[in-house]
Amino acid sequence: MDRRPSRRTVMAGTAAAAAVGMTGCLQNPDPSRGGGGGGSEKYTEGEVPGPGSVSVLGAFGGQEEEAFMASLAPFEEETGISVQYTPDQDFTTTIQQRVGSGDAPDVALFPQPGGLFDLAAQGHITAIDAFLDYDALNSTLIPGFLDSARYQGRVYGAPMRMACKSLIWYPKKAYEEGGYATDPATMQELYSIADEIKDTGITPWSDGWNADQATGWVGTDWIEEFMLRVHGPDVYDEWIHHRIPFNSPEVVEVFDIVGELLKTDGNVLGGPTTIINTPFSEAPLPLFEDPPRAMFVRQGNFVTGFFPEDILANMDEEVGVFAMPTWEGGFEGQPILGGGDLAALFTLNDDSVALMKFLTSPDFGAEWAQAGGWLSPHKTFDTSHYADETTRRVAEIASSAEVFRYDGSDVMPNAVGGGSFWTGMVEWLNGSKSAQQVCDEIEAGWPQ
Amino acid sequence: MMGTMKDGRPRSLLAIVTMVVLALLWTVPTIGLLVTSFRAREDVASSGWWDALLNPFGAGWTLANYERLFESTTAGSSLLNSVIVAVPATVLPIMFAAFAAYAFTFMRFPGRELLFILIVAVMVVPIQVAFQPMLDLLGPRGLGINGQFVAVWLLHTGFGMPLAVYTLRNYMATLPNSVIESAKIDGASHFQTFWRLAAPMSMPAIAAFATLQFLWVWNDLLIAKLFLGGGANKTVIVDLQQMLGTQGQGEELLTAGAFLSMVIPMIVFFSLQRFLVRGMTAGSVKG
Repeated sequence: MDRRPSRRTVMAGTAAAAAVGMTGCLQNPDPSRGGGGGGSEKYTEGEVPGPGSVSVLGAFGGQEEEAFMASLAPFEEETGISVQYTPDQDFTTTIQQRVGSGDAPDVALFPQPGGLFDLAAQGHITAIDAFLDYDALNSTLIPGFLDSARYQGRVYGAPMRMACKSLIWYPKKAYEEGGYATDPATMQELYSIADEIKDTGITPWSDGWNADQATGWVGTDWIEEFMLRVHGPDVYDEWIHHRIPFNSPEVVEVFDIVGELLKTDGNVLGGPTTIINTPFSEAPLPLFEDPPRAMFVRQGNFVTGFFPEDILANMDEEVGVFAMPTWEGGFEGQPILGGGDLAALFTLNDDSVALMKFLTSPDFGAEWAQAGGWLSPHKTFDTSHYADETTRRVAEIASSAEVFRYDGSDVMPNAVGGGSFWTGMVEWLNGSKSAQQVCDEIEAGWPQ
Repeated sequence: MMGTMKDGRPRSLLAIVTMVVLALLWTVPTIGLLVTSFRAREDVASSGWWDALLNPFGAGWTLANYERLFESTTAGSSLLNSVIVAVPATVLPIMFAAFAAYAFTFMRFPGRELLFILIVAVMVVPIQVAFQPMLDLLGPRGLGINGQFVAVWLLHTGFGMPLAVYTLRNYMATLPNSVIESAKIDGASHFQTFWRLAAPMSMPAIAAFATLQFLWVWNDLLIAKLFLGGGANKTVIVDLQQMLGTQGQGEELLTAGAFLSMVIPMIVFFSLQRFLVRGMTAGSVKG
């Protein structure tokens, strides 16, 4: 009998070894053995009694704050702990300043992981494995979410809200009247639908990049979406973590692909100048005019909040949405680009731990889901809580994604992800710089 | 409309036209804000505020922004907080600065010039560099009063004083010295001279500075945010900044909120305005 292992088993063996290796490096180090950062010991309830209230700092105010507080009401009632929430538009600066002056909140909700890593490196944040059941959390979350909050092997924040960005919105009535397909399998198919729309005299796409001092972030999303689709998640990870240079040929190629879509005459309403001058929140408005002046908008789930009131009133009849399809000849699986608010713990005591457990559980957010504009990062969240079918559809798109990746510009250093990448996108779109020039400049400005 | 002014000089048509045009230009952004605050979110996104003015009957005016401001936000209580912050933060620096200015002008003591130069020098210290040490001092590591009204009162008093001392001293130096001397001859103490003569005669300068200080404290975002925070004591400006959602949802409330926050400074300005123009020293040396 031939004892030589077949090629097939060798392959399987290698794959298994690779998988084990992967798990090894992704696995959370055993907290009892201790790791970097603050609070390496496993926290047991009762160690530090809570003062009966927990202060929380977050970035969202207004109606979102109301919905957040409404979702916390059952927790406050049940435990008797009161939650003092403070919203701050300038969260990133405020959290640094408050921690710096010894006035850190008990829990902070980071809109981007960047600031979280800074404070984790200084030892102000307790890693979540010290007080949460890491494996249980990881099993209900959309895969890959916790990795976005990983710093030197340990995870410092747990998501309590998700944003799903890879969505294409269309005006349902007009679109179905036109008889266009609602399930393009590839971007190329979508392009041919767009050409059909163009032939009827309607501009297929509408887009808006303006966001005052943050103008350009919509553009970074376009590049990230296509990086994921054309080159796949592995190259994407290397790119956002700067293991390949920003001006590598893959990135420049993606700029050119996006440019073909956005810069071609008649593809996008008004052309590049209008894109740059239109606030991102106003990009969907031409879709809901009668007759529509455009058919597609690519934007995250949060854009629904900016739809006209009468559209919002009958979301399910008026608005259609599908996942941004894959790229033919690129990565095969359906990738989803997203973001999320990460809850991080500064003060370790019974009350703040109880709040963290509640915020990061799949049961949190029923009230917020009802109010709208919120997605649970958990696959196991009860979707019947969402206010409409459209949101349920978005939640389904997000949880059935084969690959989930965190918005790259939020992971990159702030000088790039909140600076040169934004301005570079604008300079590239208005034609004052070529893709190569922009990528070279961003690479040159990457903090060492 | 031509003719002459009260003092007999002829009116100039050119001046009248120029002033009206300038005043209009100056208020254009405010008018735009006011018009926008009465429009619905989609209308604001789809057309400019001037369109609403050109077609006032088809513009779909709404009070919804103001209604929501009062119903679903804390604008009412934060407006009160702003008053609680601004009034002492205006009165305290002026009171101390007036005492100091009197001393610098009318009292002789060693080191007077040096102290005055020091105070003027302090004016050029930018407030931003003092934030971190002040946060340490007032925060949990120091006095622990951060987040209470007294913290911002102290800060505004401290940072308002140098300029107040400087302006008031310079104004008091222009007061007729003979009045103060005659008070001294009549046997008035410094306390009496200050309250009976120096303070009332400096009213124009005090009122001018009070207006500026009040407006600065009222509109201040940075100090209020850092030292008062966004909790129950937040001022109306901090509250406005907190009304927005993650992607700027709720922008339509800001225009209405901005107008609401303007009302009280306007009242202060118009009630103090008459002091700004009235000359108190005219004829005071006679008799």
